Amino acid sequence: MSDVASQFYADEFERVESLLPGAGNIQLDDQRKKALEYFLAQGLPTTRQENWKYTSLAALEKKPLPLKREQDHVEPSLAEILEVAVLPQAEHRLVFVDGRFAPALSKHALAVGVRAGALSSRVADRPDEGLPLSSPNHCALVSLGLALSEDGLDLTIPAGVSIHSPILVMFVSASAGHSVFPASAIHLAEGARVTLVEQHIALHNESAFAQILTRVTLDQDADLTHVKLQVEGERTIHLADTEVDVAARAQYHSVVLALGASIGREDLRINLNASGAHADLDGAYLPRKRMHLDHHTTVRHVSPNCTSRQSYRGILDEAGRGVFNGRVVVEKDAQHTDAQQSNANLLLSENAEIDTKPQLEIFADDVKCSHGATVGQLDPAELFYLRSRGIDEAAARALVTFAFAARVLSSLESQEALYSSLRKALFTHLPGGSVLEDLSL
Amino acid sequence: MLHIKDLTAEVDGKPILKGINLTVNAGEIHAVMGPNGSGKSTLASILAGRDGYEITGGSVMYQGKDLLDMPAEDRARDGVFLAFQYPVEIPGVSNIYLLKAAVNARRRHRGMQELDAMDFLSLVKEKVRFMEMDEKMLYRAVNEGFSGGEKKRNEILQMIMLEPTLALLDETDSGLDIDALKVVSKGVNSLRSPERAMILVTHYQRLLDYITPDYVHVLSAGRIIKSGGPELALELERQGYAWLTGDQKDAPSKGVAQ
Ligand SMILES: Nc1ncnc2c1ncn2[C@@H]1O[C@H](COP(=O)(O)OP(=O)(O)O)[C@@H](O)[C@H]1O
Ligand SMILES: [Mg+2]
Repeated sequence: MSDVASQFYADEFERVESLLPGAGNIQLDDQRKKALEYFLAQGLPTTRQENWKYTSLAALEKKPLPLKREQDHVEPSLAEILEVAVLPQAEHRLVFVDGRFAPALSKHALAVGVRAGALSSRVADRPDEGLPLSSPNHCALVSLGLALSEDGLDLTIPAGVSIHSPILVMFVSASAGHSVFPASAIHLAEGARVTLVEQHIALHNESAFAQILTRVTLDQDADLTHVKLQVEGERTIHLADTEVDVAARAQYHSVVLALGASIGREDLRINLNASGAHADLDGAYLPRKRMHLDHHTTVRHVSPNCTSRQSYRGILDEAGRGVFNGRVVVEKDAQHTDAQQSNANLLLSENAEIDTKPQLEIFADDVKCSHGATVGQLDPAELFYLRSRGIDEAAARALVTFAFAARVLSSLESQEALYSSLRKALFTHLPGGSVLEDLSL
Repeated sequence: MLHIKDLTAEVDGKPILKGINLTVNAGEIHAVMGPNGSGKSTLASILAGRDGYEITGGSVMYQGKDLLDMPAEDRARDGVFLAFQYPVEIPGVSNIYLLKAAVNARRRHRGMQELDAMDFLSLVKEKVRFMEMDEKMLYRAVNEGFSGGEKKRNEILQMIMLEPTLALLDETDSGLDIDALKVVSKGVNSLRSPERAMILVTHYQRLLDYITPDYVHVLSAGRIIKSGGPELALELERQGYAWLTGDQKDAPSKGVAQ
């Protein structure tokens, strides 16, 4: 292992090690060191690995970015944050700036017993518990994140608590040219219910690197709607690894909108661990210019009577490139599994490209599994119909494209404010979307 | 208002229209009848501006302008409206959004103020009631999952919202039961005025019981082979097209004489 990036992050680790939350606690220090060693042994993933075949991290390999130094910190103003927030009116807002919790920009009025704040505080207060993020699933990037994470979201909703208005969590890149490693732990106890809106955004259009680690645990009958809006612009490398454990009758609903990164990669693994668990995954990716947006999902049906549905939609313009790899594993005991998957793509340019692959691994015999992938262009009959009603060609294209993408939001329709904000985010990032009129009707 | 002169057109090198001549004046209703495959939809589509046809000769003037030179959207804004034989489903775009965008595009073009949300809503609701439709359809995706009859009513709803100058109705009557046919005819008749003209493309005489045309033309194999008054449609119903086209398959059938 030769590479520049490994040496670079080994040096960074040495520099920041003693500054990390809870540093000095032997167990914690050891956990971080081991993670770093694992990363150093593996190195960054390369396209020789099946899982990374279509997504090259050569840019990161060549030019790794440092963690931010304290003296470089510039706190954005609240006005700046609210201006870019997808839900500026959110009652509960937790803001992380360059990977660290920013209490002055955050506010919440959550019920007693709800813990919503900085994971660094929890780790500093109770270092003996270690990082509540460990994953049996070893991966070099996850290990790098574990070693270098300075902070992240700590969210625990106690049993039976239902939070009615969405919690907005903003990960803001304020100063360019840095690496951030936010790591978050989310736990919904029995019957808890919440909608979490995670927004990743940059206040600059320079290079940045984010390696994001998220671990979600849903106890039985819990219900989490997890929206992720990724809009960091064309020069950010955004790699996210999310693992979700879903207990009996609990529901995990993910809506991911990947709207802008030079390289964006979402690894989303869902484990349906007990009977009646359900996962609903909706996603849209809109690569344009030279963006590369990759979604790898794994839905693992461990127990009988679980259901999952995945629907991902790609809109690929200019030299944009998309990757969708949807894996469904039905384990031996997982009888009466119902697993659906679909991936539909709209290619708007000759230079755009999509690699889509379903991957079904079924070891039980009494299961219903379906999958389908399509790649198409805008339908000329639809465009003519709209034009024949006086809608000009550019608007007709934008409208049909928007309608195609917006379907991934349809499950959020009942949450009106969120739904309309996300539709707006979607159409402002859509090829030609600016010509669309107010879509609130 | 509309002057079609020696219009010839082909699709994929195959001649479809072989010299159409037709003049339509303001206030007139023309019925274009003819056997399947004779080129009726092709003519209507070319007038509305659909791509994919090669115009090999002739001209079409509309209100003194070269219609064939205008993109489809400009024709629509200038008052040309096509009610589709097969209305297109547009998933994800609601009917009300399309109606509002279409009405305002036309109003802007005429130098009128756009309708605000309230005025638009009360207007559209009134028209929906007039067409005996369910208000809920306004919030459904355009034509998606609509029955054949609902689609045709929806076309007429769009038409009466847009108040076109030249309406082209392509087989709006086909697939309608008698009640739907009455409602659709009511919609069409409500637009009759001295400033407007209509071309009704139809296979059957049935529609013409409710909307009396001023002229009837028979299109066969890409040519208008006969023109006359409303009595020509009745003649066609009795005799089929065979006496005109000389083709046995165009003889009257049960389907025609219902
Ligand atoms: N897009 C097309 N591609 C190929 N052939 C076409 C196309 N549109 C129409 N045609 C042909 O042109 C002829 C006339 O069709 P059409 O105008 O639909 O007739 P009508 O409406 O009178 O039934 C038919 O032979 C049909 O097959
Ligand atoms: Mg036809």
